[in-house]
Amino acid sequence: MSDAIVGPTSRNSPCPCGSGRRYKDCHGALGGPDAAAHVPPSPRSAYRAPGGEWAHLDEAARDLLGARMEQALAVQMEGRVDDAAREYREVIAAASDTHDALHMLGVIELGRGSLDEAERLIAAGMALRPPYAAIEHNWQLVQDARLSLARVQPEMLAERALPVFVDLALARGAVGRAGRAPMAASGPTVVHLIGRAHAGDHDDGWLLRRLADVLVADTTMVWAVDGNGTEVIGARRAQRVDGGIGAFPRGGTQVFAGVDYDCATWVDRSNAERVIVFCQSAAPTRYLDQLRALAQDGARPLELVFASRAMADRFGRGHTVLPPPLDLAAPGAVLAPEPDAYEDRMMERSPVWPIGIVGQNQQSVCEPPDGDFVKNLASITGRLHIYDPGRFRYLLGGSPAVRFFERRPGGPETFLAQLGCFVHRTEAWWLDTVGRELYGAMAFGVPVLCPRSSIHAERIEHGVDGFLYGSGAEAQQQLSDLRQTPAWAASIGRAGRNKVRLLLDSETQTRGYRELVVGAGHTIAAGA
Amino acid sequence: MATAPVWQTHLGADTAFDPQYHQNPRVEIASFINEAPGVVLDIGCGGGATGKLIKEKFPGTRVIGVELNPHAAAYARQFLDDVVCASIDEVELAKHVGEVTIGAVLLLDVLEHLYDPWRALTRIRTWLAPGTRVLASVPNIRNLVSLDELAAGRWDYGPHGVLDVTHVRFFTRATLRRLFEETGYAVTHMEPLTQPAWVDRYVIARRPGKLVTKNLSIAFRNREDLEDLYAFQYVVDARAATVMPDCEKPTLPPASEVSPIV
Repeated sequence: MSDAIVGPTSRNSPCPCGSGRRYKDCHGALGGPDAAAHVPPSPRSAYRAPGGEWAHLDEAARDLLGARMEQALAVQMEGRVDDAAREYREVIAAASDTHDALHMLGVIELGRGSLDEAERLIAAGMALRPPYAAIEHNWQLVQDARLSLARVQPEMLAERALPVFVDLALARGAVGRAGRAPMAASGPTVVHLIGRAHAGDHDDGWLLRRLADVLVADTTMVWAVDGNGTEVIGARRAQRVDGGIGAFPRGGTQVFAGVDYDCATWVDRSNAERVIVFCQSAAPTRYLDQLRALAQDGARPLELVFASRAMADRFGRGHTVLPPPLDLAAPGAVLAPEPDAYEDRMMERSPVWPIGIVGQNQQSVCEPPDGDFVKNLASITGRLHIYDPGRFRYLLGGSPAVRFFERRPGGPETFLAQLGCFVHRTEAWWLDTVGRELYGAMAFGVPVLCPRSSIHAERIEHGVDGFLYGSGAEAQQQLSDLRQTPAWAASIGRAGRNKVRLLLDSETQTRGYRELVVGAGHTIAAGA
Repeated sequence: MATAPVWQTHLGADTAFDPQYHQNPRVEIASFINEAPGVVLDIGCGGGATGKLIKEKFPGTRVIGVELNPHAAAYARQFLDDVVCASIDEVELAKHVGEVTIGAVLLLDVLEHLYDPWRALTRIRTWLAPGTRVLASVPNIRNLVSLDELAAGRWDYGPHGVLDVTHVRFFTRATLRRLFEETGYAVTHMEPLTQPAWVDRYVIARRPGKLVTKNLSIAFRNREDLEDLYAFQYVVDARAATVMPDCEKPTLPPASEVSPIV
């Protein structure tokens, strides 16, 4: 007889199984003195552990454990994992060989990130039954979690090495980094723009195009490290880089857009007078590789340009910071909406206040790590909009509170135009986006929340033109507050819009970028 | 213990109802439906789990299922408004459900099981008003796992997955688009459903624009391309085109005019 079904002192007390019925009408009726007088109630649970797992228990105990298992599975499906874990532990306490309880508790521990405990539980479960697809899958998930941990660790080491490395590798280029690089005094220099032409909506491909637009001149040549050589970028045909046949930029000022491509086969022979790297989000190990190649192990000065101070500081001191060259007024980019569009919208349809997020990380294909946080967002105002949802389709696809926006050209604008608030998310600084949607939301007058750890946090004045959050709970509190005071939300949105208009003003930006690349004294003949 | 080969256990229309196979609600498919769809025709509805989910997400939705497996169809009847047990090539929809205006068609993991998916899509097209939405999910044969295994000489059919033993057609992004465009549909969106946890297991190195597995090294052009390699399935979001396809089979020249292959 199991401990689990010892009755309460009074037969009129609630049954310990949690059914809400009196003990005598419930499990007490199964074996008590007056059991014979009652028709035994039909079993309360359909679940029974197959095999011999519960062979040592009588039917009443099995029924009780079955009910616990059903309850546990039900609350687990609802996402109440703590309640489910408690039930499973009760079942395991009563019958330690209950395969399904071990398996499911292992799944819960996996979700909590306790990989050792998850592995122990699932292994214990696997020892009890021949393998089948679901448990093998979950076992594999545990192994995958270990693997992804092992993948992140080198990045964290590389991150720590970055400033040291940059100081060592770029030491001989200190002249270039102390201030602006000395420009050759005579005549215009050829500017070579190098980057990926075919990166979809990837930040690098976009950056190459944008830089080509800003630095448009006779003396600018555009080089694509990918594609078939027919791409037109910045109104001129991009040349395909091919180290094998000697097709690569030589001499002049070489401007690299991002670091996510290979240049090791030709960069040693390129003899640049000056090398500028526009740094975009990329893994620290990638940066170590690429900067080492570009700097020729310290033989050549590099100038690094970052979109934010927070990012630049990861690479030591003395680097240039320029706002990301987003062009919010360009055709097809974030439109400049009517000044009061946000306020008008909030007034006319007060019940709908969608919170917006971007689903997929833009650097890689991966599982979102903050599923619970996003699930909670959906419950704050009953409306969550997800742009480029990726794996969130699996997590939230059945919820009527969530609306999904597929990734497509012009898609961000449609998405941003409907929001009550935008929440920026990031995992690590090297996975942070260029901020197109964050700044886009601000341009729309939509109040924004940004993680304190984001490389964009420095552009937001907390409580004035946006909000910074450290934890999920903090973000939820800020969202509830904003929701309750629409006038305040609108004023934050307004301040954000003004901030972004100044920050990303097209003329100021163009001037800043040109000054950096060709020097203040030399203007590139526009369109010449 | 030797297990029976998969062709013995999983082929044939009278295969017993397998809850894991037929009763798995496709939550991610529901995510593509943002508005109440009206009448949904779920072709290959299995146990009706996805139709049930859509009815829960949008109360008032009427779901008509078509299912070949009689066990699954019987099971689906408890959740869906109508279930027709027939093959897509034979079903006479109007005979079973009368004249209905179909708001959306679901073809979830169906086309790859058909010898002639072109004919099936053309047939379905005749039931639809122009502009009617069709959501299909179809396996992507150009996924990194299948590519890696093929590179190692393996093409192992199994009880489920991309190489399910009951699959007779295989598609990539481009051929899938053509399948729809040639049968009277306009493809508005294609989305790869990625499985990073599964595919990452095969990746042993990443370089810019390149993934390396145990058996091959493969270049990708951009993020869309990378997502394709990580996806076991595509979702095709299409609309019935205004112009009906030419359903006639091309006329073959008389046998006498065909020169024998030497």
